[in-house]
Amino acid sequence: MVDENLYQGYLKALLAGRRSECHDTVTGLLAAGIGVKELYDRLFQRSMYRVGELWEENQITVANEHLATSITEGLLNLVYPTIFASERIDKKAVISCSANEFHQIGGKMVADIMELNGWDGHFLGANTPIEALLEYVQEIRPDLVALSLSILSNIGNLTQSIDAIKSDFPSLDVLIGGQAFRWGGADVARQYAGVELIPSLDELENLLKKI
Amino acid sequence: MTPPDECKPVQDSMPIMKRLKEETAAYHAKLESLPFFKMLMEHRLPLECYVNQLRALSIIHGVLESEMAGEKAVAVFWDDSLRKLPLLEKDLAYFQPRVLLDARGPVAAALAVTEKIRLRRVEKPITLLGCLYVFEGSILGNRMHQADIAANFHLEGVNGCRYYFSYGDQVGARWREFSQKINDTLGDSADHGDIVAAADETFAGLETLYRALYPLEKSAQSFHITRINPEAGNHPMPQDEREIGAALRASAQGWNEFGYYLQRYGQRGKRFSDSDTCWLATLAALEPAIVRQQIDWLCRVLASRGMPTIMMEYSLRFLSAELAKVVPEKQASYQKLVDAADSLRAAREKIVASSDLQSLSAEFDQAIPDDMAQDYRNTGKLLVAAVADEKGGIKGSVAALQGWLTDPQRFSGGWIGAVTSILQKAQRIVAAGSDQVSEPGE
Repeated sequence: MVDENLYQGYLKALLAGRRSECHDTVTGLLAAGIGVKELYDRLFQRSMYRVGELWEENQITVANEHLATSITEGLLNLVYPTIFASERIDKKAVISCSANEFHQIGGKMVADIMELNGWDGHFLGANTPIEALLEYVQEIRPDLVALSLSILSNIGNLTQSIDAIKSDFPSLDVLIGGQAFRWGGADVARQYAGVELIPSLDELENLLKKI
Repeated sequence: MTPPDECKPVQDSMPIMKRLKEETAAYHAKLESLPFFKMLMEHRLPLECYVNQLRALSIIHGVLESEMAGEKAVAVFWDDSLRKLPLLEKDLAYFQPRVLLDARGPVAAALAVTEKIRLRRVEKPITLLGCLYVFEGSILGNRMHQADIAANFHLEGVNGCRYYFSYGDQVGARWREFSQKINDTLGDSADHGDIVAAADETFAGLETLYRALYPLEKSAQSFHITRINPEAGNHPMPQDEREIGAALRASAQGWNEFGYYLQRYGQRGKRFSDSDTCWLATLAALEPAIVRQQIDWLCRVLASRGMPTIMMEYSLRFLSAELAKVVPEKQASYQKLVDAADSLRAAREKIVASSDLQSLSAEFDQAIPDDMAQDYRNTGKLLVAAVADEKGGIKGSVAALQGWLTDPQRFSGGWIGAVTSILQKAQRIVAAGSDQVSEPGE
């Protein structure tokens, strides 16, 4: 459904900050019955990864990147009616970005995919201090925790979060993922029992279906 | 924060300023009623609240002033005399001897304001004037608070409160001048509503900021990178003061090694060098493979912006040495930075031999006018290194350097000829090396 022409047109509009054009593209896809995962994977994730690359190559400014982020965050809201219509399965997850991690689109998409699969996804947002995360886990008692990492240099904060969760809740499963793992850091998951690296939304969904 | 028209009424014939005043009046009153200002007027404001205010405002002014200065759509309204960041930096330097940690709440609030400022520049740059209006207007109120600050913190003269004394005796005149220019230029433009909305948004951001500034949540304090560079955004930095000092010294050494950086990027660039070097210091705690990945990433980012990878090599060596001096017990960790520098050098030498880099660099120094040699020391090395970066896969490395260094409005024909010649020679060497590598049997 998201063919190359559509993707390129969307990316162009996103980079130019044409909110309404991006909005129309997404509403058109939703009206045509696109699956949420496909929308996230092939349009939102792909375009935001490309935005990151273009910034890295000095082809766009940090402001362009922030604008693309802002537009994409707004578009995620269009999907909520679909997500919340899913049948619940009485499972809960806490999804969070680690301390000093301010990129939250990935975490939001994970929360949405969980909701779509019937889970209650409690998304704590960007830059969540470890203490706040632990308090929330204590309160909610989720079936798993998912931690998102976009900037690889924040991996120290991620491992501190995992250490703290495993110390207070040893049997609680932890999923980790995010753009940062495109460049490395996969070893982290192997250092802990009950911690799994989820490299894509596809794999997340497959895993959720098994639980 | 008092209504901007207290000094002297703005003419009624100035519709946008009048509208701004009327439509943001409630925000003025609300801000002034917040506990931060109440405590300030009662001379009971804790010093850490005041200093964190200066830090937060430096984040906002750093970004706002950079965006205004770089935006053509608002160029007519901007000149460097409007900058407040230098005043904030002096105030912060005054309090530097006392270590006051950064409060995360105010930093987050300030960063949220800057995020909106950046978006405004992309989406509708003229609305930056709404943000500027708020801060120019606040100068009038600041003047009224200057005596409170001096009394509260026992300050002498303008020490520690230069920001609050912006424009000196000219504050009223400057406000009138600002108002006049805005009204005359914008007339009855259709943008008025969006400019007012920008002012509203800025006030809302300031309300969040001042609520976070008093009372401060002390448990959330630590060093934040914006204390090093107000425009750095969010990224890790050392939490050990010794490491911070070492990173700043290393940054200065790196900056000193290549004169081009100061010439091209100025003090703003130096602040980014400082914050980047602080970030590099945090990498020493990571696994070597991740250290290398992170450094490769930053190399790509910098090289495509006119800063060849050889600069990183030097910075990593300076940094490791400085860190080991002050925290010798972590020398083994810091060695990872040297190892990464060695990897960068090895990658470059696969493309251009060190002997070629040295000889071309020396040739460049011979070719350029004597009076340029010091200001642009080691620029020849940068040129050759950029060619190696490009060959190594960093697209645009040469163009990012060449474009600036061959600008005829900046440089003489002799200089441009020398730059062009060295680049061509380096490219020929690289091409010859590639040919050799690709020959069968080798």
